[in-house]
Amino acid sequence: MKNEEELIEAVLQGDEDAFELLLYPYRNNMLNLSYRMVGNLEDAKEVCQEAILKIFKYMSGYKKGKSFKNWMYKIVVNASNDFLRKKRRHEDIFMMKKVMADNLSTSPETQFLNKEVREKIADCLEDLSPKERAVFLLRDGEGLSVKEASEVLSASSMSIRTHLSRARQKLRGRLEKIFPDGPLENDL
Amino acid sequence: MNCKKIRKYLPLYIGADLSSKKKEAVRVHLGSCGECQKEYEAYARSIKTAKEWLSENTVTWGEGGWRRTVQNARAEKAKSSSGFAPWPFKKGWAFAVMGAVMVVAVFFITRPLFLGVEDFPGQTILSQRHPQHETRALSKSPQDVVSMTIVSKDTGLKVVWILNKNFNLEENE
Repeated sequence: MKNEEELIEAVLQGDEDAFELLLYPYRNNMLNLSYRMVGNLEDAKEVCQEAILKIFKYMSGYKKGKSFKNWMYKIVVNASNDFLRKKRRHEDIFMMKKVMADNLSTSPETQFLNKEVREKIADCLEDLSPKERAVFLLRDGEGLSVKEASEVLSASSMSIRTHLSRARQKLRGRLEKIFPDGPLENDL
Repeated sequence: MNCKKIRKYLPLYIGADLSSKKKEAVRVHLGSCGECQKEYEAYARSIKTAKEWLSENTVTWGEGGWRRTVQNARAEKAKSSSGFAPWPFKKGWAFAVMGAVMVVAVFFITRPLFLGVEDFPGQTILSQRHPQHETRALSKSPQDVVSMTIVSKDTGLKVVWILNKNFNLEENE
């Protein structure tokens, strides 16, 4: 089994089968990120296909030694933003929230969050601008550092912090409106 | 730091996204300010909820769907860099051919600048026929000077007129 660096080298040499192996471990990260960016599973898959094509085409532009995962995130975020711009449907992209809530996997730990609560939290992402959403998803969803997020989004750390702060403020405000008594008051 | 400033930093303090100096200032303030502590707890609850939602509510890509998507992307890529294109139209070659054509074009356009003024045909003829005017002829472009030779059939007398661009007679040295 080849490691990531060997797979990257093989792809750069023109091995198309290595390309699939290289992306395979990240397939769900790609799908989740694009899904939360565009709010619809079918659109997310379309965005991912576009992103995969771009990764395939511009693989030669990847700088060895840098994180491949972050480079891939950058392409997925850009493809998602392109998609949102093209479709110009920021207003109704979250119409599929019910489908989204039904499709989501549940674990025993998340059983306290019922379907209604999940839908409402999905609603909160709607309030964020695409930039705020991307920063929030990368930092709090994917666990990237501010520096890594700044590389992925080609923005300064200062800008990332500003958007992150705004995103968290908006989420808090929205969640407090939805749950005036606190969603998980006893959970802290 | 006052409460207003501390509350501005709280969204970043929650995720440990502040510099260590600011983080310490916020920590010290929270220890002594009940109102800010309540604010902090409200942030912590909401961000915890959102983070849990993000980490637990995920979608997964089935094997079949994943393979189809990759195959589609591969087919798209193959289409965009088709092997049927003749060699001059393949990207690398196209740039090389265009570059060569441009170099040749630039050479022909700028060629007169590299040639000596004596290479103009009119000038050469003028200087060959009238070597005494060579210096003058070389120093002027063919458009500036015109020579006219009149030969008498009877006497064989030859008169050479050198005219400038205004058709005024040039002075003979």
